Amino acid sequence: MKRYEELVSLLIDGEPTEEELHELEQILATHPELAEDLRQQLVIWERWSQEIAPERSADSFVAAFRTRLKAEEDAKRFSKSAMKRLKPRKLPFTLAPVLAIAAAVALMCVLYVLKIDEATNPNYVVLDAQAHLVSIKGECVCTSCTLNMEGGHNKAIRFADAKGDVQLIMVKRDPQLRSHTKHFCGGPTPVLVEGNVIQQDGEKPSPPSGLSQSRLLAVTSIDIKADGAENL
Amino acid sequence: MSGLDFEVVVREHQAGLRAFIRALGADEAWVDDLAQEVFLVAYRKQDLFRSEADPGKWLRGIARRIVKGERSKTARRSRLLHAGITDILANLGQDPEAEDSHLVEILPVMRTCVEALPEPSGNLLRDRYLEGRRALELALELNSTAVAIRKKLQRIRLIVRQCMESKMKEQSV
Repeated sequence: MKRYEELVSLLIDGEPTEEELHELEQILATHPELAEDLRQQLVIWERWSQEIAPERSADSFVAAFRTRLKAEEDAKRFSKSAMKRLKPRKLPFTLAPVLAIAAAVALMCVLYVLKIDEATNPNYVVLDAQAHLVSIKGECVCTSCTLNMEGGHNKAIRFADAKGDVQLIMVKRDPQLRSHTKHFCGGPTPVLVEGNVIQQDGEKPSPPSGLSQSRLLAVTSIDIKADGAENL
Repeated sequence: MSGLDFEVVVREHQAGLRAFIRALGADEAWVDDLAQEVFLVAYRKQDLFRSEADPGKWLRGIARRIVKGERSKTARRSRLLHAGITDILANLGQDPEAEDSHLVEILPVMRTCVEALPEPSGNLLRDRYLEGRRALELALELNSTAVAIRKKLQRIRLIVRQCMESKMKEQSV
């Protein structure tokens, strides 16, 4: 069935329109054997993607899960302790939880600004205290391909601080960064990135040697080789 | 799942679970995100898991519920390809028990078949999956059109599948 094949090709490799997706839905609804065929194709090529893309390897997935789990647990713990501290003040109405979270976020921002301000060169890292944004001029690197560290393929930004010491910050996983994988795995590639720094308590159980994973950079814009910023 | 190392469970089931989520019609860019969400739910509810039960089956059940939850989101926010297509795929009769073992079997065969492809086809397939680039991006890079790239990939997929089927038949004989 030629049209089915065209639509599946669009679904897997292209960007089908809503009408084309609806058309495929109609075909699948009336041809269960084609629906089964599509299911098999999705499974086979998903498995292939996991096999070939470094950032989709088992190690990368497990590392990303560990980071996400830790971030979630830390956020919960922080929010809980802030709530506890605010409770005796008997805040009115149902705004108390909202204010507790706002206070926690504000506190984290202030702590982060104080910490970074001491250790970084304004030429390399610029902080916007209100938005908790950082702008880093450095290089895209992959912890495995570029730095030969253990612990899977992780995107990171390498930059020099005020003392000229090399620093690394891990980049938070984001599907929209996938198109830039070649700049990380094929790096080091000069880059200007902007994003929010997510501060976590403590270190991961087994971070790649020399790389602090208590901070993650959630990238909002990336300008490879500084030839025009691209918003994510 | 109590008494078990949760990281071992993640490592053992991540590949099969991600394939299962993709087969439910998740957008390829969001498969890993959804799979992590499934493991987070499982982690939080691990005390409810009966040790004699199959963790894979349990995880797939959570995945189904999360994917179902995506159905209620607007198309722009959804992590699915298309809600209607997901409904059809989710209702296909499958043998969930066989999911993981089937995946273990297909990978070596697939590797052999992909390695047997002529170089330009192998390179195109690698470019497509190494960085998750779609036809339009590849077309710009290769000075071609998205339609031409899609057709080439479609032909390559057919060749690989036919090769896999014939090799699987040989193995079963």
